[in-house]
Amino acid sequence: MKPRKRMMSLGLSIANLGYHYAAWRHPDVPADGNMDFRHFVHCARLAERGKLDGIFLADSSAVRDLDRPAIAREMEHQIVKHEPTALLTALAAVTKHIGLVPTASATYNEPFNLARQLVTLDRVSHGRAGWNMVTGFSLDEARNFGLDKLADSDTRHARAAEFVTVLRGLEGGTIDHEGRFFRVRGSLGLPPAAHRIPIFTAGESDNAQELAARCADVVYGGQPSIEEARAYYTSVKGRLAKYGRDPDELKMMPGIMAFVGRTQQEARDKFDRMQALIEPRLGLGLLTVNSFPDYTGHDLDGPVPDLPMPGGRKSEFVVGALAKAKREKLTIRQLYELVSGGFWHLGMVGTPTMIADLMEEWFTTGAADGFNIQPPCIPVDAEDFIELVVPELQRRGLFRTEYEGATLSDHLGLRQDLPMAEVA
Amino acid sequence: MMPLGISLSAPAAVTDFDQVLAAAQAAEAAGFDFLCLPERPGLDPIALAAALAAGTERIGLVPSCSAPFHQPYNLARRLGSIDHISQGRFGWALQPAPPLPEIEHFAHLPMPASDIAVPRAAELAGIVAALWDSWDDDAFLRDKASGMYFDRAKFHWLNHEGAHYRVRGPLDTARPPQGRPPMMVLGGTTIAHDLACAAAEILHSLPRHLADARATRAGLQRGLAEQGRSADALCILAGIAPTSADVQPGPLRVSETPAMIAALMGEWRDTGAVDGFIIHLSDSPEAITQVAMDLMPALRERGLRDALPPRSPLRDRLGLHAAPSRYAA
Repeated sequence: MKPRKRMMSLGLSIANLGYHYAAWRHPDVPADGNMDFRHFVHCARLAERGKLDGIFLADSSAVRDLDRPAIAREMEHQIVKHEPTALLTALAAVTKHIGLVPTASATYNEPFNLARQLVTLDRVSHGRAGWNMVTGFSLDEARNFGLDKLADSDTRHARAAEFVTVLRGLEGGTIDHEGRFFRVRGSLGLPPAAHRIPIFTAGESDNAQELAARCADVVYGGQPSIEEARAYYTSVKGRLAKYGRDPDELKMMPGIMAFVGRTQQEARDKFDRMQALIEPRLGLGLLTVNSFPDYTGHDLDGPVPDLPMPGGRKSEFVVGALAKAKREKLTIRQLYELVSGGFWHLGMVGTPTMIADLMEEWFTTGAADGFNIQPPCIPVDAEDFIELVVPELQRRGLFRTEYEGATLSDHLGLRQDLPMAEVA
Repeated sequence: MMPLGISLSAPAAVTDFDQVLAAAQAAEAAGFDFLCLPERPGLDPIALAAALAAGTERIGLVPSCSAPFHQPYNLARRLGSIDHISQGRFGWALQPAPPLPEIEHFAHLPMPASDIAVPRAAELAGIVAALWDSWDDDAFLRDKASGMYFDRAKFHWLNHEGAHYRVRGPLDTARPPQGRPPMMVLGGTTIAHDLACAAAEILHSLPRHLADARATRAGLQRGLAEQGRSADALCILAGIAPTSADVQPGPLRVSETPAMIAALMGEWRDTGAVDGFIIHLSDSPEAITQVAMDLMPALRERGLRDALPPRSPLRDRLGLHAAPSRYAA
């Protein structure tokens, strides 16, 4: 068979009305869209029109940080949502081509239940299901499942690895599994499919990268610069050989949050308009939730004061942002605008050509195999990306102009000749 | 109106979504109030209900699940989501004590002893209903001008600490359109009746004859009174099946003509033995259409059914009272 030309994989993240903290205040964003099925039908059909590989729903099983009043959750839209597998199974019934990738936790689900839900999604959609595997990081989630603290990372990742073994076994037929976490006997009662459900995951920790190398088909990333993205790409792919896997068997898809304009000025105006919608109380709360000191009570338009860091982790992101604030004499307002822009992943304000240039560079120089599009505002910025950037990528021969296969595995160009036994 | 549902009850595994969708659409076109998706091997009943919510417009959807294998927080958000997607057409059935083949899929989980199956399932159902009340109906201001998305005075921590579950809440889903999508319990067993009196709003009963149905009703009324619930808090629907139908065992088999079946239904309903019926059929859309063509005219003649029921929430179709939030003033 002739090897096909390497094409980008493109997914659209449709959760939460967008990745900008004030997305819901945009005049053309339906503020109640996160509970409105019709909104999601629109998003799914939009992604299908753009010939994208899949739509993706980020998730956690909790409303986070409601007990920390300094974090102005009452001004955010990421509060209530649909359960991803239910929503995507409903969308499967009204779409034809698009891949459907729900997030579900290996920590708070039973493997038989989730395997059955995912395989049902896959059958309803005729092969378009994926699974974004997470292990949970939030105490708010743990407390909804009877736990007082989060299980440690080693335990969560060991459970997830065994979870995948059970999933792959059940996809293949009857199992009699007994491991450290699970004892599962029997079958789903369904004939096996010709393909495996692609597994998506993310995470920079050593545990997360090992788990990805062992069993993931797609890895999402959140690196803001090409250097960091290349390092992450090399690090994850370098671990595949240990599991007898070829580097091509796993796709790296970093997130991209783009403000697209027909001109640079138009893009800039869009960005500025959204930034101006961040109320100071929301902005200060965003700093708190991202582990910056609490600047409440200080002059927003004065320089960022030197306050002690809150206890716990000091992320590189926080240290870097504070150094930049000092160097460039940023005000508190400018600091929270910097953070609320969400540009800890690949962020961009520009024309379709500029954005396509950047994506092409990442794609051709070992930083990405594709991208997870994280629109600032949904559906408006998703529409702009699909109407303006996707055609530019197609002109360059970097992205498909028609669907060539039927399943999500086909879209992603994953090998289907791997026997089930090799997977676990 | 006498509530009338269909239960897809072929004895085989459920493997073909398109067939289930065709059956649901046939049941909807025939004017049935709801479709039961019992626990069977194969495709997941709750996920099927989600897909059917998008593929139908009027019919209610009632999938089953087994209590010991689900966390209440997971259930509340999945089921709540489907009530939103279906715009209030959703209900669910809870099985307190699943059979062995199912238990084998979860052999690492401790199985509750038989004497706690009911209280444990009732606690789970109570948590699910309470989580649905996490956000008041008017909690979401979504005021673009002021930037206020919700009112902090209008959400509720659950902080549930019971004998079997601890759940903090609040739920991450807005209150379902029905407030509380009704819960069904299936069976003619003591534990099914106990759970129904404690926590359900629909009993899918399996009486063998009219006297049995009357005795069941009387027993349930005593049970409801003991729980401090009113007699009309539980809608009792009897399972029946045409003799010729290829279905799992359980329902009363009826072999009379459509007119005689309609007369039997009318008698059972009018004497207060049951509120309505659930017809067990195979998953074939043709079988559903055929039964409807035979039976519906006879039921209309007796005033038991309208030509086509209005599009309305499942609770309304079952004659259940509205379910305001427990926190409503």
